[in-house]
Amino acid sequence: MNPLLILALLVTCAYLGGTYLFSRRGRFGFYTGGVEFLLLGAILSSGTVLHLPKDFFQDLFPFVHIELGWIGLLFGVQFDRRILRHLPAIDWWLMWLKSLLTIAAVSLVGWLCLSVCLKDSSENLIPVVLILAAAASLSSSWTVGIIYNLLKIRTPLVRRLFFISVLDDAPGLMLFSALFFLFAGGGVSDAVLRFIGGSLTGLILGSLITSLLRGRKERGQTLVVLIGSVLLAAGVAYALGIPVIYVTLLSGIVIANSKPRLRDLYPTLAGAEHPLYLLFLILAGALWDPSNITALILALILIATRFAAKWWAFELSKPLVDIQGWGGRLALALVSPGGLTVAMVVNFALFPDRFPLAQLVLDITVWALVILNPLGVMLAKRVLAPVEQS
Amino acid sequence: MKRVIVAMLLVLVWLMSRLPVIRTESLEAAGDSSALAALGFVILGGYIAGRCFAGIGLPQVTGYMLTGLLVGPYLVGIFDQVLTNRLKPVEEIALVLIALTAGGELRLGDLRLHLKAISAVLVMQTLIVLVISTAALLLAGGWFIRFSECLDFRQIVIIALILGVMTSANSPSVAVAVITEMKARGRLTNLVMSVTVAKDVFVIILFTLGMTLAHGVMGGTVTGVDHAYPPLPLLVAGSLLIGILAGWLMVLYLKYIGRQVEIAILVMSVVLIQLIHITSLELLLTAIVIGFIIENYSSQGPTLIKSLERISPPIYIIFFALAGAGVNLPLLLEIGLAAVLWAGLRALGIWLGTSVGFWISGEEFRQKPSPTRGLTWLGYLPQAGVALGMASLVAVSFPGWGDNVRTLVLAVVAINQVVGPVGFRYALVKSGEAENQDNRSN
Repeated sequence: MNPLLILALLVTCAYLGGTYLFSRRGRFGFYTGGVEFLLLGAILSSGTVLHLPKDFFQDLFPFVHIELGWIGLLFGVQFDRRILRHLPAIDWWLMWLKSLLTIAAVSLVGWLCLSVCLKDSSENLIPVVLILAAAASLSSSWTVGIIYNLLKIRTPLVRRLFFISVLDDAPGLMLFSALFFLFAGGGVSDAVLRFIGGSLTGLILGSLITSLLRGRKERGQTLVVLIGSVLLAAGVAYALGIPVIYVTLLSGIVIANSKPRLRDLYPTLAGAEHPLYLLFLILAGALWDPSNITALILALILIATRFAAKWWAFELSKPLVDIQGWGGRLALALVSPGGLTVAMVVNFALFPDRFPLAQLVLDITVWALVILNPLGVMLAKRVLAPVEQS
Repeated sequence: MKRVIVAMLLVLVWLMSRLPVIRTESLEAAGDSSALAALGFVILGGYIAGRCFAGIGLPQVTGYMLTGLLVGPYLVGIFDQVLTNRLKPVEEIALVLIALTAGGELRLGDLRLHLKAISAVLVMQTLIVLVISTAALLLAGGWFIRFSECLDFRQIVIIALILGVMTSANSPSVAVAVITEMKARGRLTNLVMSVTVAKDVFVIILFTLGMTLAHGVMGGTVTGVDHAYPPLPLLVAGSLLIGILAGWLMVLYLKYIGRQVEIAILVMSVVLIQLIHITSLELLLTAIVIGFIIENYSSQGPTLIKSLERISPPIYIIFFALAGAGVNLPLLLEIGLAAVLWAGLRALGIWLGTSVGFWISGEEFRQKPSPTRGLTWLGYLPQAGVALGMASLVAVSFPGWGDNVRTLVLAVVAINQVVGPVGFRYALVKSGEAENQDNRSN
């Protein structure tokens, strides 16, 4: 049977199964954010159920680049300074505090653990540990989004937490981009050139999208421009060895801050992402090695570290925030990682000769997602629901 | 500003296409990156070209095709043969989407209303184009096709018949693209869609008969024919059966699930393509039947069309850019005059066939004055995939004269790809059936 046909059928089965068995509305208490597709990818690549050709997943790698670009754009268009400037200053401080604490804690614990596990304390570990830390600093806004939109818990606390969960990805993404530029091989001049090339591409594409879509209303036309731009960004980034998320993130920020505001862009981007995201998760699952027990143990340790860092950040900010229910336990609502975290580590895993331990980072991150994602909403609900009742 | 940005993008992609291995890990990675960037560039370039063409009153499809021609292997070279082959699945998915749209545009009520005209135009067009082709080949065959072998009268007649069948073929894909772009609705639109779709099946049947005849008279080879058709009744019946089954499955999905319709359509397209590869049935016919079933035997037609409109624009651009990139420019220049003349004869045949067909059915003269009078024939000028497929089959089956016939067909199709959409757009605007008469405002 043709592998493409198998994939098409499996995606359909996984989609229908995910929707109707577990349901995004939490029929059995679980809210799947795509874990079923990660598992599907892992099962397919293991060859236990179906024997797929070796290069099957490799042929689909260009889709990963496209999805990474799409995620970057989707994230970038949320950075509209006209909205962000209305946020209280304390949220910005909290964002930095929470991210920096997480990065510091995960870096330290991660370095200690990896030194012991791999019996290596060389400087090879530095980029690996920092990638882990950058990935750990991100929170999934999906969990809080479910609480707000589906469970209809619409308190000021939930609203505030949602903005923080979106904002706190920024420091992690900055660190991720810096790591990519610095450790992708070559000297400092190469890193600077990459940075300039990537930034210019992002800015030019952002301007192009803005000028092409100004005054356009039809969704089909918007999609054409977005798909073309993301493909171009993915190709340029891939060729230059720079992270495609960085390029499209910049484009997104340019678009978000353009005049007049392109209001219908975000829904179009989010709506069209679904098939790409499913495919991306399947491929990420295929890259994941679930037999790596070291990765599982490290994932559990890092989940605990991450939770502790976020808990501490919320506790530290408690005297400054005048909202009922604010405190360390809110860390439970933001403990689940999201698709952006996986996207980030997959980006490294696509360049294995530049980042030799990228596979381990990917395994740890996917384990964390598989463990926490189905529980994320349940945990968040535990923290946020009593506040609403009171 | 827009021009500066586009120029910068052009330079960027050109540099990439020239220096793909500078910073990549392997040649394979370089290929992937170039392919992604080239595809992105073609989509953006096609979109911009389409808008520019629409601005000067030409169809966007022509803009997409000319972008493909520009970046194709004979000019800039961004779209090379390797990339074209890698995009084959996209091309096939585009064909399915086009055929679904075509089927969805065929309404049983309209078909019943114009049945007489549709059959008369279909038969008369094919017949007159066949007569003109045969006459032209008998009178001045050597000028159009350089025959290396010595052929008798009977053999030339058979070649002329096969060439005539290929010449009379239309392009449902271009017709659908122009109709969708112009948001056209009305009598002319219905007639063009119905005849074009019906002719697709009719021409395949005639072609299969012609090839059987040619094999009987001239021998030829059937080895190396990858996509030999199964026996004709099986081809039609099998395609209809699969189309009906898939159509009903799709109706059930739309009715009872109705979510993520775009994904469902894409998955169904992939499954259908694989199924057709296995069974060697007719992809276009099957997909047209699916669209027809959904439109006419359920209430889900508008949902299907809306979803298709949402996902098809980027796929259309790639599809038509690939068609443009496939135009063999040196060949077109070499036999340009003969091809132009043959395309002119084809246009004459189509005009005559349409007029006679309408005269026989009395359709054109039923209401006076009719706004579509004298314009409908322009909708039958576009020509693409079906003719190219048949020409390749002839070349493989009959090395020698088959190659020369293919050369002429390729050149004629190239001309009709450019001229056809322009003519059809003009007809839609002039008849008042185009909602998007000035799509600059979109």
